[in-house]
Amino acid sequence: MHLFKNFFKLLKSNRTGVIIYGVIFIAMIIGVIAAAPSLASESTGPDYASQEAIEVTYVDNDHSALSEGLIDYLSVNNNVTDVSDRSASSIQDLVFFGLSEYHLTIEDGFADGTGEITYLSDMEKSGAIYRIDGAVNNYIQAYRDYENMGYEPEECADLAKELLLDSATLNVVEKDDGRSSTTAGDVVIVFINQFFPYLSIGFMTLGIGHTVIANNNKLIGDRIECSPVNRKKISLANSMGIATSGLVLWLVFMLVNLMLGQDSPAFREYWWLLVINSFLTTMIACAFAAFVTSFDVTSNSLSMITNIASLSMAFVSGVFVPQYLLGEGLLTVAKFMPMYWCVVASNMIDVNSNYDSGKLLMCFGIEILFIVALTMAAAFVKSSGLGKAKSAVKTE
Amino acid sequence: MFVFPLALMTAMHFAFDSIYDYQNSIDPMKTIVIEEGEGMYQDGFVDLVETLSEEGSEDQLFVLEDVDSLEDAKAKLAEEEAEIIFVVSDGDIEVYLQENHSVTAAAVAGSVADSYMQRYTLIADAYERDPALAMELIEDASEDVTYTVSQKDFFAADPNPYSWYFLSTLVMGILFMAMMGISMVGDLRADVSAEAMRYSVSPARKGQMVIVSFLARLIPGIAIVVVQLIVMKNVFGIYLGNDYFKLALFIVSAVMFSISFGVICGLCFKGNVNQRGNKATSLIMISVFLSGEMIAQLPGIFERYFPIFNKINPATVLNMALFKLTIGNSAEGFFLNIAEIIGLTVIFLAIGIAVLRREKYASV
Repeated sequence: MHLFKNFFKLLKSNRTGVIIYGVIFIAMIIGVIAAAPSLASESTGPDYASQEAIEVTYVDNDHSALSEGLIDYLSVNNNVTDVSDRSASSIQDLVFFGLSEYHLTIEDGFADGTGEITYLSDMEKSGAIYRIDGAVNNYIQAYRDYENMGYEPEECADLAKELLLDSATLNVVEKDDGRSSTTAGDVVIVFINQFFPYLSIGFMTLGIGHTVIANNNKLIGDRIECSPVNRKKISLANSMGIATSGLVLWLVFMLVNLMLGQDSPAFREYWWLLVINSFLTTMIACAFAAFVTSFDVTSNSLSMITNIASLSMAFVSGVFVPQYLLGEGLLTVAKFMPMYWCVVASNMIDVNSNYDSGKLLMCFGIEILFIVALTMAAAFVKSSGLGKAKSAVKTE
Repeated sequence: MFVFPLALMTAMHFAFDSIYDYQNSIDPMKTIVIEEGEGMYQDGFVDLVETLSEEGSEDQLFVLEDVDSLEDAKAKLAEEEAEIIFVVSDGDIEVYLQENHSVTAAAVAGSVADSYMQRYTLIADAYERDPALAMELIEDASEDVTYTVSQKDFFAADPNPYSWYFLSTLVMGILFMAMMGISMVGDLRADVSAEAMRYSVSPARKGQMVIVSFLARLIPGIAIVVVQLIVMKNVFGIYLGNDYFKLALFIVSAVMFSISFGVICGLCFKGNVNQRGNKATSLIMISVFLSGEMIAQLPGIFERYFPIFNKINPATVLNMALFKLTIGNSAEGFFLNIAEIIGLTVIFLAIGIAVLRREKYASV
């Protein structure tokens, strides 16, 4: 108990580090919440609406009935923004970061046939580009046809708009699995839980890991070593300290889930899945922190090792990029990493991936295996390290 | 500093290698057409879908499936054995999609059905007004007229958003060179380390010590970045442009910026070198996260809601300079970002040198 309390005394004296990583954790959660809708619509995989509005920007140098009519027509079903006050470089940024999926430049004289209409997009052949480029070309074609029929320019613009707004009915055939379609609240819940394995490993290893390293400090280590406590208890006190810190992190994360889950039918239905999975994920993070800090590492190398390991695992396991976009071969490799199973389990609440109780149990089982394996490895490394220290003292 | 970015890039290379090509293509989708009644309208649409289903054609969008009734077709859709159903009756088309349909399926199916319906209505209007013109429109309908021209050359290479992860990782590695700046403070500030205390009382000129110490870190820093760029280009196939002068300018400015940023962090933070390093690492991690290292869309979101942040976040400024130099191919954008980096470096260095030189008298 004394050593367990000592862990938190050291944590208190190193509180700056914990606070810093706490702030990082919260900043990242806020970042993920802000980016969640964009992350969902950027992918060409399962989506959340039949016909999403496309982000269109334009520069109209023609100011003709045709160009103004075209912008008016596109504005009906899309988010259209005039960017004539922006530089070419700024427009390039908008397109590259997906803020503008389709940028249109209408040259002076386009309606008379002396200028061109050009577009810029980050993809050449995606579904969204196919749709919006088709709409632009159809509008111009309809306008020209009405012009040939002898209508006035303003009439052509109105008729073309009226014609093109008459569209086919889109229906969705729902699966008979009793699950409702995904809401914006579900998207946020899915993404914060998808990112949680990375965030928890970062917080536990970098934030709390520094305290363990402080415990490894020669001065403190020597004092603990000469106390009448056996090695197992020393190791257990450290592990319990890490696990208690993990428990607090998990409770905070659950609170975040609870607050954001109010608008999420998926959370209301599968809260128990997220509770269990995030708990196991936190325990994996604790075990990972215990394993990394069981080596004789300095503060700097702890940062490097944690960043390399957690970022690499996150990229490969589908934390930052959805798993369905990653190749089969890569996912096979990812199966050897704990984050993969955490992501598979948490993604089951999404209607786009199928809930499978057997597979979920397997995920939980593998996560528990990882916790046991990492904890045992940490205990082994730690005790062999202490053993070496003791034998070194004896030799001296 | 050397291995960290390369290890991450290796993971990214395997993770993102083919995603852009996959997203930037439309794979033919299993499609069912159900005709309700008989007539020219239905026949014309079936002909159109058959044309768009021609195997091996560049315009192939669909793979046609034979199904007897709408109920069977819906069952296939629910079982995810087909992606799209078109139900075409006289003068109307209905589209059915899977519950978990893709953006592409919705866009393509809607677009094909809309185009056909609208064209048919237009020809009917024209027939009432001018039958000869209507015949011309029917003949023209078979030709695929495109008015829009793609500005492909606006980017020097494919604007693959996944390239941002690689650029961002290189920049993260460069920013971690701030640790060199912190160790420089540790070496020269007498109240931080015993070694600095000895230097402090030596008869050597402090200003000279500061400059030599800075150069001793700058040169290996540059060498590390050069090797990383070579690996990025030759192993991971990341486009880095052909302007080696600008690339060299970027490398030197970025490394100088990071070391001088580290010096400022080392001077501002308290504690031993490790504690100062930890605090700087936290700052760098937040800066790197907000520049899109983990979520590439974040700089775009800031650009929309809080654009000034992208101008003051060091990681984003460095990323943007590298992006403008490579994929962006914008000299103006590159020089604007580099000017900001150099400006900040000069300020940081001036403060750093002034404080470190005075330390001899202040801390001993």
